[in-house]
Amino acid sequence: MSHIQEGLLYNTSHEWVRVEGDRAYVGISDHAQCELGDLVFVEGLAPGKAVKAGDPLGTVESVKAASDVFAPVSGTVTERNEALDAAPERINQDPYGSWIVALVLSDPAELRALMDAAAYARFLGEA
Amino acid sequence: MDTEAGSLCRTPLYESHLAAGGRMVDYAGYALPVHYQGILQEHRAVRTGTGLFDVSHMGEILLEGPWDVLMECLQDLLARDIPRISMDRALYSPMLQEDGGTVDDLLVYLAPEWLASDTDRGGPAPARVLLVVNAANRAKDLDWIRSRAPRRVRVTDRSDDIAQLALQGPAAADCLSRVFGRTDPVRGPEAAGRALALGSYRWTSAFLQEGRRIRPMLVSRTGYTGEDGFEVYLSPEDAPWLWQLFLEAGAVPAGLGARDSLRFEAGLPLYGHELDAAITPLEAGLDRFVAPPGTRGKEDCPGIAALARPPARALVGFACPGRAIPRAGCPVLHRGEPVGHVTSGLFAPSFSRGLAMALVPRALARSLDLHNAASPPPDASVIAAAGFSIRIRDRDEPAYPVSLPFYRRSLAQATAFHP
Repeated sequence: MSHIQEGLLYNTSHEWVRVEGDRAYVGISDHAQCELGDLVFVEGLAPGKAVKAGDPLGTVESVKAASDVFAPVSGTVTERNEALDAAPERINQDPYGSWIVALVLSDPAELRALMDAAAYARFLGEA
Repeated sequence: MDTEAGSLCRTPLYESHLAAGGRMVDYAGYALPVHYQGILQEHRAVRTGTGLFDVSHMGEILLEGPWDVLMECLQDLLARDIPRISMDRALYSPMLQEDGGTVDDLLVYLAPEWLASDTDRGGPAPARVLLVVNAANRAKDLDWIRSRAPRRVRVTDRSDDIAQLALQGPAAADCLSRVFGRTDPVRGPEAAGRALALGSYRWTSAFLQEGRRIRPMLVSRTGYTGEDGFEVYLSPEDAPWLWQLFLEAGAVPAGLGARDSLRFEAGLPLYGHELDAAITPLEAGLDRFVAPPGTRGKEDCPGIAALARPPARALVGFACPGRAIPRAGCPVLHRGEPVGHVTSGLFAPSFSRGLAMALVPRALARSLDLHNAASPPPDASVIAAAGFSIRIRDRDEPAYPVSLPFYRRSLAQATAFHP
């Protein structure tokens, strides 16, 4: 059973969002990192790129496969977490402490479409 | 990412995988663990100690018939020249289509008596051969063999009656020896002694007794990891018992992920990637497993004649100096022009970098200056001068050719067990 952190918002493709003012930090859930296994490469979009909810926001790769990370909300990338370049395994060790990119939200109303921790737990069948 | 484990076939070790924390996925219709603790850790265990794989999904097809008829049947079915088969050899061979494309790649064993069909009765004892085939090709291979085998050769699918464990790594021999010796103090040490004395690609039978039960098994010094090791074929009822004994003796359970990364580093082909209906064994670099044209006894083997022409393509290893990881299907470019595609690509744990095997035109492959996967990348100017790149997610990443296999165990390791 995977860990689900309170205070974050989740979508059905297993990304999480931490909102701080107009900023949204995006990472992947514990469930997602468990499914992917040892991560060996992480790449977020470069700052300045605008994305719509559902667009690819980056890539995470395990030994075997590459997976897209999707934007849970629309916005413009302000930062990518460069600490993950040399240590992608941090996502395995601490998925909720390891954001991949930060966005400035372009439509904060979209946050209402996301799940809170309890709803995500139900979605995973772990409630 | 969702797998409907409920509708999948289970190997006899399904419960053992769940107990060990296996992350189950659909592989060729079987629920099998992609990893337990993690691919990197499991990969390392096999390179430095002992890993244990459940490979019970592999297909086993039994051929039975009079010796001469059976041998002729094998000569016509398989690319390799077969008469040299002796009782204790495991033979690797591709199976060819008429056009030289590959039906499957498989292992051939002269099957021990305890694997004979149970409906066998009376008459002279037939010769028996066991073909170990890829799970995904089992139905196709059965059709292929049944439609080509002479009437006097009986073809039986024994896949569900035979489980298989692979014990792999430099310490596999120690592990096997301890398990056999402790389980059956009478027969175990002798069976272990015979197993440890096996040369590469040789097999023996072992009969371990536990309580009143005799457990027969075929122990083969083979594997798919580039390390020393054993593959043990046994009854499905006995598989969880032997699995548990190997774990207690220190073997680390390893999943499909590590199986793929290990075979990839060792340059071993995987059907569906380096071999398929449109790829000949010669293109995959398996020349030594294909009888040369004109070989006596191979006149009726379809495909051999088609392979008389030099292959159009060749398998080449590539390394990417950047962080992006090449994957199967990525186009390979030479001076900006597409020249081939990646057949397998992954993050190679032993080298901590992305490596690829790719099919490119043979003329191009022959003129390459090959580097070593274990060495640091050459200068950017050298890589640029060679002119190769691999298109990974719409970006052309520089790549340079490296020799295959990427990984070879040291000569000391390779010879230590075979004096």
